[in-house]
Amino acid sequence: MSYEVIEHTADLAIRVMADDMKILFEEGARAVVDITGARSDVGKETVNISVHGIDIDDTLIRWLQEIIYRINTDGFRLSDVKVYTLEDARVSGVIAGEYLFSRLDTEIKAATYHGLNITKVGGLYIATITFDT
Amino acid sequence: MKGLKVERIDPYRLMIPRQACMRTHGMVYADATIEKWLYTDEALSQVVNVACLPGILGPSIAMPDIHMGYGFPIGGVAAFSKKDGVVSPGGVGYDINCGIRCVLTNMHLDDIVPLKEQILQRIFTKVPSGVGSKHKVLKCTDKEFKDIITQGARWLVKKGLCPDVDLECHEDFGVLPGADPSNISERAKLRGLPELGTLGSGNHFIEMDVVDSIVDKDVAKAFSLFENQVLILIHTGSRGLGHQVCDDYIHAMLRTLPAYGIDLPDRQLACAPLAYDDAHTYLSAMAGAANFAFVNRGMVTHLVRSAFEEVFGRSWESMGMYLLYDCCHNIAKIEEILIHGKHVEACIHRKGATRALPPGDDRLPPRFRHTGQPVIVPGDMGRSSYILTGEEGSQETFYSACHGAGRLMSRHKARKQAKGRSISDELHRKGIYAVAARGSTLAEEMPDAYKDISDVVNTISGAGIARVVARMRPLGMIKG
Repeated sequence: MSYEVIEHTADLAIRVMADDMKILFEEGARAVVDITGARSDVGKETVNISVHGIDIDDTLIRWLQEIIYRINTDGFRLSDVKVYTLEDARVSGVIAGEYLFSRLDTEIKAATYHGLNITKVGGLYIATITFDT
Repeated sequence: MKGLKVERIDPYRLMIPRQACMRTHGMVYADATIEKWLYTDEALSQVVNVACLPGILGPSIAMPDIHMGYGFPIGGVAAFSKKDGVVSPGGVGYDINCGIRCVLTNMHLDDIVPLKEQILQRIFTKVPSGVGSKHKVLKCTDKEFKDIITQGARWLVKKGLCPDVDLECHEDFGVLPGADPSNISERAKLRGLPELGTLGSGNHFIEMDVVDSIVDKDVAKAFSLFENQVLILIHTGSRGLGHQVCDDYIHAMLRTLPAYGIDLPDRQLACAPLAYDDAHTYLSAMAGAANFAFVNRGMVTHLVRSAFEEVFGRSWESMGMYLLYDCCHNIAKIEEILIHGKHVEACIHRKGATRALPPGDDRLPPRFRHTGQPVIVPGDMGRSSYILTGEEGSQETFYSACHGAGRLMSRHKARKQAKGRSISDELHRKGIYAVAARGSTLAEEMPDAYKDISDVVNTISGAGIARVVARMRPLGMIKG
């Protein structure tokens, strides 16, 4: 899992790392699944997700928010995530899994914009994301 | 925040002078003990960021339970001019009208101790608790949903789930005006409705307390409080509905910021000018979510009352289980405040803070007009909680006080520190019975993760914002 937890007094902040921006988005989604425990071993259903942000930061947050919504509201549990295209602050991808409504470990209310920062260090993209938990 | 200037004004107040993008100064209520914790996270820089928002009136305020949030600090209070100020959904937060209520009983400690665990277990089976908790029984029609959004606690009265006499014991009488269901997205409705009548997770709880000290006898009597009395505290909010309303409007406001020429130090502070419709559409949706939260706490209260009825075999009325008061913690409202000696209407944001009206305020019902508003301040699972009342000094905080102890430690760090310990056993040795929907909640919420509530209350009472009426200690609790 390519993320680490950063200290945040009230909520939960993470740092996600990947060597490609599309993979960064996928790793962000995987971090959400890991934190919430919204996992499934069965990829029998797929949901296409497309969002359009005002810039890359906003697009990342909208992408994560869509996944959080599917987990919390639809009871979707993920076995896989794939980003197909990411350009001009538009992302399209798919999540696979099943509608399970299994008990979660942690509730993420939202991915916030606070302290959001996507940087490129060397060949590595790094995003810092704060969740309201 | 490196290089931030902070000046002590008196034993209970620290000022952050105008610097960087600040349009006004910051005022942090902190005694020397609280001050020690202020520099351990980024909360003060969040006070600064709020001071940079357009149309802010008076200082950017932080209560002594301040800690780092996102956008606003937790414990943040700010007032904005109706003419050139803004409303910020992030300044209210995702859990709109997360709040606390205190339910009275006429029972003494001795009446309850032998049955304490049975009662808490009964409540635990009745109130869906924990992450993503949903109500399996409750079904709500579209018409009922609209009524809940527009009528708040009054809907509960119509349904026979809340006595009429409880209505005046809610902030704003249990209903915020202006709620329009059409301003709440279908997504928010789908996300929130199954969670109506549930506790949720994190720091949400139902707690049984006993009054162990009466400090102000007259006010305590007016609040129907007495020594060794058993009380119930309920802390929850608008569940998924509020989360989605906040998300929807931050998303929308980020897109309109350039049109309004607003530049922000933190996108989470996305806002809209109060002079434009965008702001009022949000306030309408937020009022709906706040009303939903009043109903949520009311339904949980109904279930708690029925648990008591089943255990004791008599009516909740005979056990005196009426509401003392219900306070909002996360809210933005148009309220009248005093600025430079003038009464003005402003949009008050409270993010982890409680309204605290003083005696004589005509917004209070007659029963509290001579005492001031009850302010319920819960501590952590192992230490005291307090009931305060608003004082004249609350004018300077736009009639606001603290809302709790305030976290000292992240959940992640708390889990690490609790490794190898049984928090449940530690509490049990103190005579406190804790039930949790999941094991890690007790670790995340352990007493060491919070400031000592007494330090917070000492600051708020020392500053003349609110004064102590009674102190309670916990007997047991349900954590989500």
